[in-house]
Amino acid sequence: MTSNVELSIVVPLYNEEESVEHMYRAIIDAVDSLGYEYEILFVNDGSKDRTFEKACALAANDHHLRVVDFRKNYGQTPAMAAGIDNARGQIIVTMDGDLQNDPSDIAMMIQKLKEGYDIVVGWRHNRQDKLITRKIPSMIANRLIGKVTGVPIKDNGCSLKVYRADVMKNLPFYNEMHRFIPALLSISGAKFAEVKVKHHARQFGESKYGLSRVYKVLLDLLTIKSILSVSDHPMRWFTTLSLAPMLLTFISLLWTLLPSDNTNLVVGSTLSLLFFSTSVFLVFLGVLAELVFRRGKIDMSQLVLMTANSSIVKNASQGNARNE
Amino acid sequence: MNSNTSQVDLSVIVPVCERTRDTVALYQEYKEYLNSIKENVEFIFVVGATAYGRIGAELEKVNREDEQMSVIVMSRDFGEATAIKVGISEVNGDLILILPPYKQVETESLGKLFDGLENSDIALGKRWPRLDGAGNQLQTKAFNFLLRKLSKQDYTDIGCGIRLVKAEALSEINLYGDQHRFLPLLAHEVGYSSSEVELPQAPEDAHSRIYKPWVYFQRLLDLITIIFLTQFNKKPLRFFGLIGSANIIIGMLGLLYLGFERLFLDTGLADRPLLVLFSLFFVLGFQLLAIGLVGEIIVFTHAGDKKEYRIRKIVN
Repeated sequence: MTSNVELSIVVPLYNEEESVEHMYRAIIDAVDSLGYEYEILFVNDGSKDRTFEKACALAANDHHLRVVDFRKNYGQTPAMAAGIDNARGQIIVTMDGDLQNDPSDIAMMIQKLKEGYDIVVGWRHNRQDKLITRKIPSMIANRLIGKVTGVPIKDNGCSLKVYRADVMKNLPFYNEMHRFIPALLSISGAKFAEVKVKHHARQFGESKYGLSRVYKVLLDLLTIKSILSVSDHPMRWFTTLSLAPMLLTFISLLWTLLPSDNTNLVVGSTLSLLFFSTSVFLVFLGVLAELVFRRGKIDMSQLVLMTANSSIVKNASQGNARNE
Repeated sequence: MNSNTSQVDLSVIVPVCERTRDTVALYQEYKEYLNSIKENVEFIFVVGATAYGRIGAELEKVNREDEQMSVIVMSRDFGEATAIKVGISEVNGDLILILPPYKQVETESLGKLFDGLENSDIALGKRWPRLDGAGNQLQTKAFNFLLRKLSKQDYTDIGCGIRLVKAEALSEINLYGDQHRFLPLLAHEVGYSSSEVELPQAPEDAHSRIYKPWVYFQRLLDLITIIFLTQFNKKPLRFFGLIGSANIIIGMLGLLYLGFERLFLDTGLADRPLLVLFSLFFVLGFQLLAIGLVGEIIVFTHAGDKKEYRIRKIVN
């Protein structure tokens, strides 16, 4: 296989036997003419139908297409992670396998990336989904994610994204974190741009999402917030959390001590002790978090360097393709 | 250790830990039958210290004249899962049969296990038809019902120690403590499937099994551990968050109710122990969430170590 691939397109597939071939044709149409040495990675996420067979049939006639086959269904984020881990290009494109993203946007997004960004995020400004169950929850979620993470992306759920491979490959990326890639990348100081992309209504198959995601997204958001906060100042986040029970301690202390007839004494002092001990507990949990973070395998300087060097790497890669 | 390493067709691992009954006689029975259906069979006995005190002398005597058998003696009692793990590291074949050191099913039925490997990577023995009493069967049913509900996998007799496994499926699994029971769950996590094969229960296994309450409690803890390890391994906050937010909600609702009574029914808060109780719920939920967050930080800082997915193959 050639090792000078410039562009890798990663598409996770789960039970998409009807879409596979359309998807493949659409990508070829959009990318073949761009003049890059490219590869397409279909990641079969343990499909129960004939997705894998169909993809393999296509791959037999085209060396551009590679198919990664999972042993079982792991979910969209691991599928994307597998595609990214195995991608050989310096530019990585991820997109959904259900034909709702349009590969014809890729060219424009790569242009944008070349302007000096590390990641270009698609924004489905004209989204073709159900209003109540999909668009409104997603709108609220995006606002919330933007507020909490401090990374104002209008559409976190859009899978169509273009990255520089160097930045993406070292990103700790697991679970259902694909929604938070921009936020995670912000740890390393990546520069991102958001562009409008086309969005089509679902042609085949069932949507794999439901409203039940809300709870999960909220918990994930809390996780991301902690990780982002911890990566800067490990102690500070838990100390911040401990302020809430500390405040309650003061309130209940006042409530206990202010009345001159001591009516609130028993209940009030119990409450004060309860809140106070929680506050102390959280501070020490912060110490533990600090220890965990220091002993962990995340090297912040590595992450920072990836983006700090980006302009130099980019200049080099424009001239001659870098061999891996 | 077997010298002709490349020719082993079947490796039998017998973890000898707490329970043993006529183990040496049973070995002869196993050996006779398995030799009749497979060409080259090796037996690996992994024996815990206490069990070795009981049957060690007998085993050694057999071992001295038996080329097929090897005995590994562990320096203390490490538990069955560890014994199996040790056995796996000594195996020469690609096919591993795990057998208990006491008779669970009719030996002549073991051949049926090999049919179970046609569509899956692990064939699990299932004691059926059962000969033992309703009490035993109820225990099996209850435990497996819980397991099915929590794991969303179809197991009906996880307590049966008879498993036929492709060696590659075991290589990626980390077994320890009492987790041997849950081997198929751990294998499923890394993408290996299992199926159950019905084997008639042996009369020797039909004795009544009533344990001390402590044992049942331990089983339950094992179950919770394994569910946490397989389902929340990469997302501890989902686990802690679920319990934590339940506590917070109970606390909140209770506090709202008390607040309502204080404001509109003029019931003073000072003489209400409920205020402390609901505050406790609230605070406990908060603490659980915070512990979940530490869990998430652990996962995050080690995310690069282990891939979450397992690839069968890459085409092109």
